Amino acid sequence: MRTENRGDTLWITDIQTLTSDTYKPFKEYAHGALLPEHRFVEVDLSRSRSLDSDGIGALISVHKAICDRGGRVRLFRPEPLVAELFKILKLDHLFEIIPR
Amino acid sequence: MSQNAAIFAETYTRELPCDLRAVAEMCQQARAFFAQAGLIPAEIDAWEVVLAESANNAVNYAIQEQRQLSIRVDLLTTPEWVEVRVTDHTAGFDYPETAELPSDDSESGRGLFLIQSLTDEVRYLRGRKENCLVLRKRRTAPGSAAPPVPPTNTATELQEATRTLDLMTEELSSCYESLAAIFRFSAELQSDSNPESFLQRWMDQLLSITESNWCILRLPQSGGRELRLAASSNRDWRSEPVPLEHGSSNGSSVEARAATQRVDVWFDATSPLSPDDPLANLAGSGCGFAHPLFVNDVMVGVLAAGRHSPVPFEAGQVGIIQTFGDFLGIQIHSRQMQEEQIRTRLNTRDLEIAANIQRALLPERLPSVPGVSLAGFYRSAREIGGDYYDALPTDDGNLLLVVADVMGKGLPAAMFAFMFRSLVRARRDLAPRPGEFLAWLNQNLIQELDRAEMFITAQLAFLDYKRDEIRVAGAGHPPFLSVNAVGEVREIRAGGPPLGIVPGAKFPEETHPLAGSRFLMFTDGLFEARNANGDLLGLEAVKCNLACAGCAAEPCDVIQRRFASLLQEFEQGAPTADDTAFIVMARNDTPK
Repeated sequence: MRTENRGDTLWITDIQTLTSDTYKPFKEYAHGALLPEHRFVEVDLSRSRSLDSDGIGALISVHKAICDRGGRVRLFRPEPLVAELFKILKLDHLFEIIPR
Repeated sequence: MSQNAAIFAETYTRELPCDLRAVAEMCQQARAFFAQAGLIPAEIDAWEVVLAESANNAVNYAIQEQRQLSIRVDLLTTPEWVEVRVTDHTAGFDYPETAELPSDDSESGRGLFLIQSLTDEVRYLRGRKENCLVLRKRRTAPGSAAPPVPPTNTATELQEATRTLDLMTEELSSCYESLAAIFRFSAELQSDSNPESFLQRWMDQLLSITESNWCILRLPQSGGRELRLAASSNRDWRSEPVPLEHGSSNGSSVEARAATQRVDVWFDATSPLSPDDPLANLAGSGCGFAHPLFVNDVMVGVLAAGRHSPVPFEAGQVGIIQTFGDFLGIQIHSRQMQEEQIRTRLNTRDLEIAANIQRALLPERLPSVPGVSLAGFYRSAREIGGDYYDALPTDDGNLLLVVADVMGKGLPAAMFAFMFRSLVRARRDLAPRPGEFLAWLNQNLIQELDRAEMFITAQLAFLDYKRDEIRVAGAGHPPFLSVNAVGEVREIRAGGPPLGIVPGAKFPEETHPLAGSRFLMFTDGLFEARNANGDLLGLEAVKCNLACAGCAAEPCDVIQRRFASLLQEFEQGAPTADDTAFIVMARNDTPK
């Protein structure tokens, strides 16, 4: 996993999996990387092979943190099923999903 | 991995440690298996999510020794279906028929919803020592890429069938134990009139069947504001009531949390009881749970059970405790309903007794006194009251008329009316001085009336033929009315306070000539009658009718019917709120 500061945006990429055994490090890493000037978090999911409900919980945690600042989380190029999971769980309105 | 030609099925079985990393590895192996079985990528991705959610739950819900036991995953593909079984050794849980989504900002609680959304069938077999989640989904492209079919592996097929049967037998066995005990207790409850001894035996049995060390039953008291100890397997154990604070966390008591949150609340070494929890001294460092008992959405109690050791209950044992508790909840609810019915019956019986007393109060017929005509009237309201009238000849040949009204309704009012009547009849020698008679009655009734917080209004009228006069005294009672032949109505309001209010009260008398008049004594039910609109009949209407009766020289029985009709016509079927009693009297030598 890698992060970049792009002005008011925190860019997170190189996420292999976001599942029960990996969501905690992601959550800590993302929260730790958030700076006061960040209003948006952009998560590159193009390389994410797996995502489960715990991984989604971690993304909600980041969403809550950025929402408190009036910002938003954008999810970039998730696998079709991952995008579908957000719809199934009726969470697609929380995140801006940029498809492949 | 094996392939089964007879049913064109492929199977994969893996025993994995109770560990999240092992689940992740298993998911990758499952992907490979599904790919080889010809599932399309979208199906494989979906099954990976389902497998991960199912197996992660098995890991996350395992406690202590359960973590030492493996999780078994079975995958089965046929050209039409994919079936996945995840078998764990946790205590299991109540699988919801339809999983609900948590609020948007919740970071957990979506696993079951995902599992149900991504599969066609979900069954949860909760067994005695293990639980099995069975998931099935029809394949998108049935068997299109199915590989060549090798020979049948009958041994594997048989092994699978045996495992399924074992699981079902375990489940049935725990159900049988619960059912047998429930039938036995149902029979006992029918014949046992002592609920305490029943509860004690019930608890002893529960300990024995579930290998628990203790169990506690609390029932709601004080309008549901607290849980009070109803029974304990440890007969010497005592506990203060547990307060219930709805809408709060009820942090220190697992029983309070179970009752208010309507869920089983568990405790063990990893999630220990608070030192302030009333169960802490009983449970020690052991494990257990509190199970709320609800019947028709009403909380009827909380059953807590536990062990002194950290060895958790098996799934079947949990099921028995829950089933026993739920059964007991129904019994408690049923008993409460029965008690309510008995209370209603007793109240009805109270009213019947009060009605009998009321009937006994009234004279069967008014005395036949030379030179005097009399007519009495009594009408009861929906609830029996304490209205009463009487006419008592005295030893000197005169007559005492009595009208009284005991405050209140039902049996107490009827009882006091009966006491009043007995005292009046016992001391009719006091009749010539009605004021003094009332003072004596007040003195003799005040203690009992005061204790019952009741009072009596009364009016006594003594007809003195020799003096041709009537002497009247009242105690907080409506006026005594007289009417002459030209319709002039006179109110006599002589009297003091109601009986039972003022110790040593005085009751002045007033005298009125007998000749040429008719007299009416009554209780407030006569002029306080109301119609359907709530209008009051009023004293003026009573006086007006009496004036007409006087002008028409109506006999007493006609006057009685006049007022009975007046009430009936005025009320027009409106429910009668209060008793009504009156008595009409006239000298016979006056024109009728």
